[in-house]
Formats: sequence, structure tokens, C-alpha cells
Amino acid sequence: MESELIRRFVRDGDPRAFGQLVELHQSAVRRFLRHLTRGNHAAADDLAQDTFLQAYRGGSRFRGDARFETWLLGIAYNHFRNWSRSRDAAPVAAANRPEAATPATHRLSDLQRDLAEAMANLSAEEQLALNLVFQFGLTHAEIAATLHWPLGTVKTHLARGKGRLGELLALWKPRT
Amino acid sequence: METTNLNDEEDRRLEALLQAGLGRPELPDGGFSRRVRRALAAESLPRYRAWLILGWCGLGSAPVLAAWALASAPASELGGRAALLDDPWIMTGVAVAAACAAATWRLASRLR
Repeated sequence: MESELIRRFVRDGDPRAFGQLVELHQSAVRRFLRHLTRGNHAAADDLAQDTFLQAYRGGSRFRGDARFETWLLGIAYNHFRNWSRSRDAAPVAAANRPEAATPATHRLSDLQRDLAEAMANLSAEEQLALNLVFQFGLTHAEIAATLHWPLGTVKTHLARGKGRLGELLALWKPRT
Repeated sequence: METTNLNDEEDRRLEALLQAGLGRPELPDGGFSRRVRRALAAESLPRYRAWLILGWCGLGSAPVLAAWALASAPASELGGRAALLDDPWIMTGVAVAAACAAATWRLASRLR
């Protein structure tokens, strides 16, 4: 299904196929940008729109080496970096506030709240790498390609982040 | 998904916590896809500009051409279907109006 849509979009430039791809991937791209913009939903959606517009214009450059979603996240990250430079903000998200990542109507579980608090103690790069692995399912190589980091840097951030989280959550148990 | 040290019991426990705690909550579309489609349509408007100009000119001129053709036709031909179809001005007006409708329809379908 998705591969057929990608083929129609990349080969024929089919706008309807691209429209369906937007529907399929809008959630991941917007969540990623909400995380990066620290919950600035309006900015995240503007950046997500720019991401999809650029993807549409550059569809012929998608070679299929990476997953389509990973390719989109790479474009989104580039847009975010340009946006944060223009705002003179930090290049990556510095906080992992639970309200930034979840809809207001969604009640956070104990685990989500405690995990968010623990994540706030990590560096922005460690948070980003961990989120891309555990929230977006990216491999180390995909993270390296998306963020333009060397593979070793990705592994270092993940190992440090997990080490720190391991200490902070060593005694974690669900509240009763 | 890659892991950094699956042999370690603590590592497995932490990864399970991260999987459960971070998860993959789906964001509702909330009109976002429609917004992107509109932005894409706005980008491609220049490609349709020639069609639109031709179309709107046609829409405006078709009734004028038809009225002129009817007014200038001999009285005996008025009401004669064959005579109207033979009139090149009326047929030109109809063709241009049809082109206008097609261009407008195509644009509208992209904006939906």
C-alpha cells in the first residue's frame, strides 16, 4: 500500500498519492517537530507543512535507500535547524516536557510522568537520540542519517543517555 | 530496533520502560493534511494561470458572442438548431466556455 503510493509519487509526481502519504506520516513528522520545538504546536505545524512541501518538490530525490518516514524526518530536522537558527534558539530540544509530547486530553501515566522527569536530566542530544529510537523506531544508522551525526556520536549519546536513565530509574516501580 | 546491550538485565528492563513510557501516540490529523494540500495547490497555481485567464475570458465573452451571433442572424434562422450549430462564433464561444469550465474544475479538484 505505502510502497505503491511512494512509487506513484516518486515516478509520476502524483499529487493524490502524495496527499495520502501526508495523511500516513503527518503524525510522526508533527510529533517529532513538537518535540524539537519544545511543544510549540503552531511552529511545529508550520515546519511540518514546509517539510511536506519540500518533500513534494524534491520527490525525485527520494532513492528508497531509507524508509520514507526517515527521509521526511531528515527534511523536518533541517527545517527545524534553520528555524532555530533564525530564532537563535538551541539547535535541539532541551526539554522533554510531558505536555509537549502528548495531547492535553490524554492523561499521563505514572511511568510517562516519571520518565519525562528523568529525561529532563539528560542532554538535549541524548533525549533526541533516545526519542528517535524508542518513539520513532529508528535504527542507529537512520538517526545518523537524519541528524547528520556520525554513527559513533549516535551510539555515544544513546549509551550515555541510557546509562543516566538507568541510574535515575533504577528503583522505579509503578505507584500504587 | 537496535539495542546497545541486550545481555544486561538492567538494560532490558530500561528499554522496556522506555518503550512503554515513550510509546508512539498518534496525533489526530485535525485538518493538517488538507492544509498541506491547499499549500501545494497554491504553489501550482502559476501553472494553471494561462488556463484560468483563457477560461475566464471565455466565460465572459461567450454570452456576448452568442448574443451578437443571434442578433446578427437573419430572422428566418432564429430558433433553427442547425443554424446555431453552423455558426462559428457560437461554437467558438461554447468551446471557450467549456475550456474555462474544465480549467476551473481541475483547479477546484486540487484545492479540495
